[in-house]
Amino acid sequence: MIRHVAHDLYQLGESETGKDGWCEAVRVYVLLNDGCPLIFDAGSHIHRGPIMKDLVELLGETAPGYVFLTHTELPHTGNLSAISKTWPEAKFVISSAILPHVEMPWWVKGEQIQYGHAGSSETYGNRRISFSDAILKDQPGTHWMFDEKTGVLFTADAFGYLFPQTADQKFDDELEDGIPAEWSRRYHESAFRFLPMVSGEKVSADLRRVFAARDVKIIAPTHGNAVRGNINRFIDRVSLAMQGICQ
Amino acid sequence: MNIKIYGEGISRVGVRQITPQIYLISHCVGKAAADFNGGFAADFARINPNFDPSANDIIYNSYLFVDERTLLIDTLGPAQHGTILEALHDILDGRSLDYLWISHTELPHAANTASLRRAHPNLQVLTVGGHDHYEIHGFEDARLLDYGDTIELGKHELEIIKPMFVDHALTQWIYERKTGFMCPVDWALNAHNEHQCFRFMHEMEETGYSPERFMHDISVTNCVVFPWLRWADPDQIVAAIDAFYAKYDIRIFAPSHAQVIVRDIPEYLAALREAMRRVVTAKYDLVY
Repeated sequence: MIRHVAHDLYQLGESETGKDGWCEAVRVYVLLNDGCPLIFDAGSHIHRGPIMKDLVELLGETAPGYVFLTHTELPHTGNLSAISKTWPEAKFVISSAILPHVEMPWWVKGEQIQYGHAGSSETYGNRRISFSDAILKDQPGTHWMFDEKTGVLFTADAFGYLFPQTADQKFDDELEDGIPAEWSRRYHESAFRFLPMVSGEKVSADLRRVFAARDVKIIAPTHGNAVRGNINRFIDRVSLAMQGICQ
Repeated sequence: MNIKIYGEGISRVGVRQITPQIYLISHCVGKAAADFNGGFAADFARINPNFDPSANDIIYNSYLFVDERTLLIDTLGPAQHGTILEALHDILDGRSLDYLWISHTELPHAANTASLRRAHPNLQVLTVGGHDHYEIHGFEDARLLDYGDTIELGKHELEIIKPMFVDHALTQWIYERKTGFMCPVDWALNAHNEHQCFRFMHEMEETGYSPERFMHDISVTNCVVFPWLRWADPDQIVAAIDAFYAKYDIRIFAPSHAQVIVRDIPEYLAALREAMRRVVTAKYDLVY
């Protein structure tokens, strides 16, 4: 399903319902970027049909210039082959901490890959994207990316949340009281099994440093919908969730 | 060193026997490692001068048990999809692979699951239980295992154990009770240079390696592998390691990304413990 988030940012992707009825989203984001679209993550292979249909519909005749990968786990790279077959000219941008020969599909050629280095920014089709370390992650070679034009922070697995079916595809400002801390707690507790071994205060302090360093207007998590309404309230609730999970 | 090598460079895989029924199937790049691995060793050596600045290669290990039943631990990465099949074909010598146990779902550990299924149609894939949404990780038909579950192979009995250090949520460790084989998956990742490929840890000592060098390596690399440790308490981590060592009789230490340790295990485990304490207390830069 295609959802317009803000400016030229769109959200694609589906969700899966777990045995307990709670849903997990697997999103793909697109910045249309005036003739050189930028795709962030490739989505799950089990959603290939709807994702490719939505990408073709959204992009029309315009081929994507770059596919940015937050990291290389299957839910984030599941449609790289389909994207590459449809638009062979698209380049892949991955973290400089990724080792392609063990972490990228075998058919990806070296000339298709560009690297993003934490602390640097590069221009992709006249769009400035900056790279930082993923502060909360489940794979070492994960990075976060920031679109300076729209203030979108792409956060990979962090800041996701589980939700009831009724909240699928709803942004935080379309829910009566935003995204509850309990939804964040359910997700982070499941996704980051190390959290019970660490200090919640330290985690929250580190996450806040990220937002102090840039003017984030939208958070784009892979496993949740884009957060575009009350960012501060959402971060406060994620911190609250951390206090509940961590020491 | 008795070793059989398949392929070269990014597809290269080496096979060695650890015991008569346990095989190491290991990938590392070799001479051109720095070209593929970004030359990280120089950066690590700046952080800790005890780190070998030419150690640009990383090990990716799978382990094969050939008993009454056969079991493979992890699949290696995408670029080794052909060579691991070739190596398995030779070792199994006409037998089929019965079980594939996936420690966690990252590509260096699970990428070749589909091709192994095609080569061994009766293969049973085993992975971590207690989670949800397995289909997005490609494990919708895997048999899910919980801590304490055992897999009987004949002379070998593998036990699924709770991991102490995880990155991906879907992670388990595995222990074989008869041989004392412990696979701690991503824990203890180190690096090596082009003269140290496919060695067991005691053979690394012929190149100047030692428990102390191991400690220094881990104290740097595991800051990257487990970045969450900067939020942890060093005393709690060391206490957890002590409890782990007390619980398991480790006689073969078989990580996914370090040399297999079969000799001087107490010395290397002590070095690992000290390294982890240093990881928790280390100050290393992140780009926020």
